[in-house]
Amino acid sequence: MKYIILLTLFSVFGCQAYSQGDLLSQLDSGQKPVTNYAYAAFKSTRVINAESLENDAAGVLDFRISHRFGALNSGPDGLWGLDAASLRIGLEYGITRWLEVGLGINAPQNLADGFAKVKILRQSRGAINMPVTVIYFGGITSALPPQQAYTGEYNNYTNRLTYTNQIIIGRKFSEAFSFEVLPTFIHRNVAADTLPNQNDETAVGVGGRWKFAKSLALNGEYFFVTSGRVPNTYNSASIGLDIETGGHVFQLFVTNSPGTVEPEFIGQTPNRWRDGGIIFGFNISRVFTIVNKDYTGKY
Amino acid sequence: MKKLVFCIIASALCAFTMQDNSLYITRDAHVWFLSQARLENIEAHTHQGQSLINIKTGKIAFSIQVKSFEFKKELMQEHFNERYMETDKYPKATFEGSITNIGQLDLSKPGNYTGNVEGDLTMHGVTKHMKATAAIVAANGSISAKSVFKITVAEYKIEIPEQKADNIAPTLDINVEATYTPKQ
Repeated sequence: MKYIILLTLFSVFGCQAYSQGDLLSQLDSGQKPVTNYAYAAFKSTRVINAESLENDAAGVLDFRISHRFGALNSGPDGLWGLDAASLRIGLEYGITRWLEVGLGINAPQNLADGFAKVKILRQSRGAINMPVTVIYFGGITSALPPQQAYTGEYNNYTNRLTYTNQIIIGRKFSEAFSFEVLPTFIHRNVAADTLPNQNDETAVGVGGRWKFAKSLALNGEYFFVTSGRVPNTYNSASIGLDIETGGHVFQLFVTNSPGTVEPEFIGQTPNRWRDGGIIFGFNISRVFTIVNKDYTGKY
Repeated sequence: MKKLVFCIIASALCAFTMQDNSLYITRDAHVWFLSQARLENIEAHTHQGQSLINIKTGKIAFSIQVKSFEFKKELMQEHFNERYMETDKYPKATFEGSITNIGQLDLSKPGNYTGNVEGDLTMHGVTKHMKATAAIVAANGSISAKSVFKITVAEYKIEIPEQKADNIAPTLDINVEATYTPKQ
């Protein structure tokens, strides 16, 4: 009899314990797995010159000013670089979560550029496990009409075009550290005078960031030209600081590349760090939300 | 022997009744918050709140993936996750508590009730005791509840930089709307 009572008590308390027990863990156990996408691998859409793992969000317009002074080794005559400048002004827009397009003009190289940046894979874990983010970047640069008319083969518009095709593979390893690799293919419709019949150039870039405070990050990038190097040009190396203040991101850096578009800084970097060909530059990004999301996350 | 059978049946019955009739669940509760500061109003919504309620004992559990909150501006959402809530470190906000006046409410009968809810709210790694009232509507086969309460972000160690003081209110209104159905 005693056993029966005990058994009954146990089963009663047992079931009570089950029904009253930790409700939170019961909630967790029946939960559908969610997909957590990595976000903010970089503060800006650029590491420094290179494209980062970030796209402008859908409906967001990014106004960018990219400014570089002259090289430090220009000496007192060039005020150690302060006397020269190159500049890109760009407008870039996120059409969807995975597609960003942009236009820019570059001085004094007198180039216009246009690009599309397509997110193919997004790093995530949970219901979908994806270790890396993969992006395709395609850009065209075109020489703008100069003061004097073009001569010879440059008279033909298509001969003034250069194409960049790039895959960006990267990962946000931790809250602080992100890293990416950028295999790049550049095609010039007309080869450089110094390198006849050599229209193609390939390069591999690496870029990373270390976020050491909530609004501050240290960025670095390097492009190694693997084939088709234009004579007297060098690999591009840059290191800089990202400062974020709400809708602005300021990027301050030193680099050996005066150019701001891929064919320029990957393929046409005329300076070397070891010769003192170091350039101080900054990027300013200001984002404007043009199209608000609705609260269900759709656009 | 008869007694044994009776006891087993009784306990089994009890187990059934306790499991089946008293637990109600929702996995799509609507939770949103509103920040009213001098320069702007900010709101964010999620429809992925999860909650269990035991209508006999009055015990409540609530759990939200903080990342599921949607803002109108993507950048705000990113800052919310990255700077303020640190969602990679603290992915969930949870509430564990009970309806303290459950003795006076019979939620198995259709009707309108006011519940006094009390318990521990955990978010951003900080747990605070809190109280709120909830308007509860019991119907056949479902129970819906609405509640509005305030939280002070500083109490949860969420730092708002000085230059954002005009954009983000120190105290937020939290709204909860949930419709529960019996847990299978």
